[in-house]
Amino acid sequence: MQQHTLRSKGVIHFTNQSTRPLNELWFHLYLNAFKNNRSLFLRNPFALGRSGQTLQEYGYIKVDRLQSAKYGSENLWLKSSPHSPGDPDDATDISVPLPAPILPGESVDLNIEFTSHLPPVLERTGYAGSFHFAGQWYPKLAKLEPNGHFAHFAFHPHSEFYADFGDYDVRISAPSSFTIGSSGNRMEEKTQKGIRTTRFVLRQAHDFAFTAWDGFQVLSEKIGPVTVRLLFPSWHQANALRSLAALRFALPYANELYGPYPYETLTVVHPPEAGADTGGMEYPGMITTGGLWFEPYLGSHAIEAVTVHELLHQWFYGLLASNESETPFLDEGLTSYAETGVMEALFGAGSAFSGVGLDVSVAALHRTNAAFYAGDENIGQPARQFTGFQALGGLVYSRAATILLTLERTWGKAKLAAALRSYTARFRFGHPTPADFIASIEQGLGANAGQFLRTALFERGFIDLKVESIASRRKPIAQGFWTEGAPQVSSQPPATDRESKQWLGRAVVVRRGNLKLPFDVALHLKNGKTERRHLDGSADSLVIDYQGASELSSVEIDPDLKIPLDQDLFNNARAVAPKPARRALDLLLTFAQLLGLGVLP
Amino acid sequence: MTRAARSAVAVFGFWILSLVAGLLLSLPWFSGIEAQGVGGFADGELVLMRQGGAYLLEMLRLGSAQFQSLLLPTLALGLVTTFIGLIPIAGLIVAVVSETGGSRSMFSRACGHWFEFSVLRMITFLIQGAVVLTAWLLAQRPAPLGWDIRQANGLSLAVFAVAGCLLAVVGCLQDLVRVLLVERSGALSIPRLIRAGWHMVRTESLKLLAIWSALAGAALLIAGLIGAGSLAWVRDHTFATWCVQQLLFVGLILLKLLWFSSLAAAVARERYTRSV
Repeated sequence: MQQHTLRSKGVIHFTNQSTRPLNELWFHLYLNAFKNNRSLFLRNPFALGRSGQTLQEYGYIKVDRLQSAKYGSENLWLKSSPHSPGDPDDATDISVPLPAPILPGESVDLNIEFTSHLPPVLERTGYAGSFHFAGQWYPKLAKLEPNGHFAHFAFHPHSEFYADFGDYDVRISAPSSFTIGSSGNRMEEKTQKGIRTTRFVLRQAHDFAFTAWDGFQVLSEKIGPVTVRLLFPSWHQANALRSLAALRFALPYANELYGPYPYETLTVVHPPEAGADTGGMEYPGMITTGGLWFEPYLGSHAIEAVTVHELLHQWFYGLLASNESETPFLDEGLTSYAETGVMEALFGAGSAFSGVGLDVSVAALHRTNAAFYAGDENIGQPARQFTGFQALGGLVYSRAATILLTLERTWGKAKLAAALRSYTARFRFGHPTPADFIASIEQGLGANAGQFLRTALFERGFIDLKVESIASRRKPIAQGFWTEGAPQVSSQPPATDRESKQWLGRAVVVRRGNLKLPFDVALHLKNGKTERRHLDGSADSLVIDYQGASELSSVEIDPDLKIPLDQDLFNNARAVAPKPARRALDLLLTFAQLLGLGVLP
Repeated sequence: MTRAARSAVAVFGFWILSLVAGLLLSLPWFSGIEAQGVGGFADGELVLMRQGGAYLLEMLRLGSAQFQSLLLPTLALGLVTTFIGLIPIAGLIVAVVSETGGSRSMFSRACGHWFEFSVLRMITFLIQGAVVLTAWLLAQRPAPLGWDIRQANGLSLAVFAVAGCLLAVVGCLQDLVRVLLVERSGALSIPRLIRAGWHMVRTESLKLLAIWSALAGAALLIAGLIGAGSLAWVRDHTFATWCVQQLLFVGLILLKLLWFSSLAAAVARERYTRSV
């Protein structure tokens, strides 16, 4: 533990499930991302990764031996490529040529021995004092696609992971004072000479992580059939209880929406402050949360939000194991969307923050973040192609979630829920692609919804609805020449049109961008009443005419905010005579005076 | 002119200046909010308070460039009003310290103290700035590896709490020096300041300060609630609300007057004990 080094050996039972003989194997050595400051992950001097931090000490993974009975006693790793393809400074994507091919359907046992030296905590893995978090700590076989190609890639700072499902049977030995938390079920424990060995078993999963610390408190509770095991620093009990309360609601909620959680246990880790960078991450059967201990007292629901978000990854990543490197929106976008629903069901309009008379929802935060990056880059592109992690966050997390919120509010929550249920059922323990996802939505919501998604995700989809102009006036009294039932011309208009008690109104509404969505328009009248019009949204611009007994006062597009994707919410309304913002002035003046009174002395 | 009348004039002058300064400081921000087009909505600016906060966040997003550009001018204006505001502060002290004189002589005496008050203000700014900077630098230091979150956050909180107390102490000492400067019953010296400070601590002054702080906090909270549209009954009575707020504000100025009066009493006690 003091050396922060894991010495491991094990057996990989591998079956070639593709249609092609395999002449090589590809391994991801993700921990080598922290080997030196020339790796693909760390070489960028502008620190464009998730945490934006750099390392003072480094970590690595070294495979000492890879051997199989099929190939005799030969150490296959000796012939492995020294670095990632085309990148001499990176060693996270390594191929191992095989002396003889593994045929389709054939299984081999690969004996492997390796050493993992953890760096100080950075980007979800490492150590901080006696706290250790081992994520991506072992040589991980790249995902073998059905066509016989391995989906392998060097570890990019924007990217996450992609792997095949497998069964994990892991024994972890650590000083007996340490508490171990891990993916999978704890099976048995043995203590000898102060070293405790715990066996964990995790079936049908595509990753395995664990943590060890001598400062963890443990809290366990059964939520339905699932045993939730929380590990947290003792002073975080209040936060752990908040996480637990959120899970009590979210776990059954997600089971209902996306199918049952697949494992018997869920380990929830709240890291200590020095290891905070390991927080907010998902692994099959294990999630990490985080947050400041005083946060709950400030009206923030951040701890619940991160707990719910990582839990929902058990579906969108865990069970639906899409390629996070190639299409990160499929896990992060769907998870962020699902998170808004759970958080809203839990906390209502103040799902992100509630206090001092203000409610801020997770959906509103996503919408705002999404609007910052609208149209900048394609949401559906691979993680490595994003210009920075902030852009990735804005587009993949927030904009994708906002797209789905727009879909939900426009096509209906129940319909989208049904489509997502069908998607999660069909690709459970599978590897869905964007095409699979869009096809599922199309099947549930129709072709327009599918087209909307394609444009929004892959064509930098954009929409801005705007009230271009508004006018209101009394209907003019008829004037001029008239022919009423007689051949001769008269200067008398029809009797019904000689005086006007009617008002006319007109608003011009325009739609900018390449997304077409139906929307409502509210016509607010001076007598306090409101008329609603529903427009199909196909036209680029249109004129809305009004005639009635009351004067048209203002017009608002999408008053229920069914299109949170709308780029500018403030051009959605226009009044004939705009209202003065007296309350804002009053508030600002009072604050200025009060602060002045504090400053003036 | 009686002391009560002079005090009333001083409070009025303070209020007028705070109103003008407040308007100058807040009008550009108000224009920034209005420019977003909140007036186009049927519920006007209350659109910002719609559930979920989407419109409030949208205002901050769309107006971020404008609001950022307002920060520096607001700070500069705030600094100018801070120094101009030293005149009505001196007026408050003159009102409670002087035995005689009308409003004109009070005003000229207050103006006469402007330069030394300004120097004092700058010295206080420097000391307070140093305190804030030190606290900020200390709080920015990364927690040592192995430190737990409570230790790390606790340290930050403690640093800011100590800094806040220091700022308050420096502010109180500044007020005391101001009173000593206006009162002019003897040379200004450190021992005298300490003695007067001791009398200040022994008397009711600190209680007054606590009441003043509590009321200022309550006024901020009420202003926030009103602004957030939480108190439905004031939504359509902006002028009435403004009147209530201003009355509350005048009450705070009166408390400030009492605070100076209390300090003047502490200084008088110091003078008396010195003389006997």
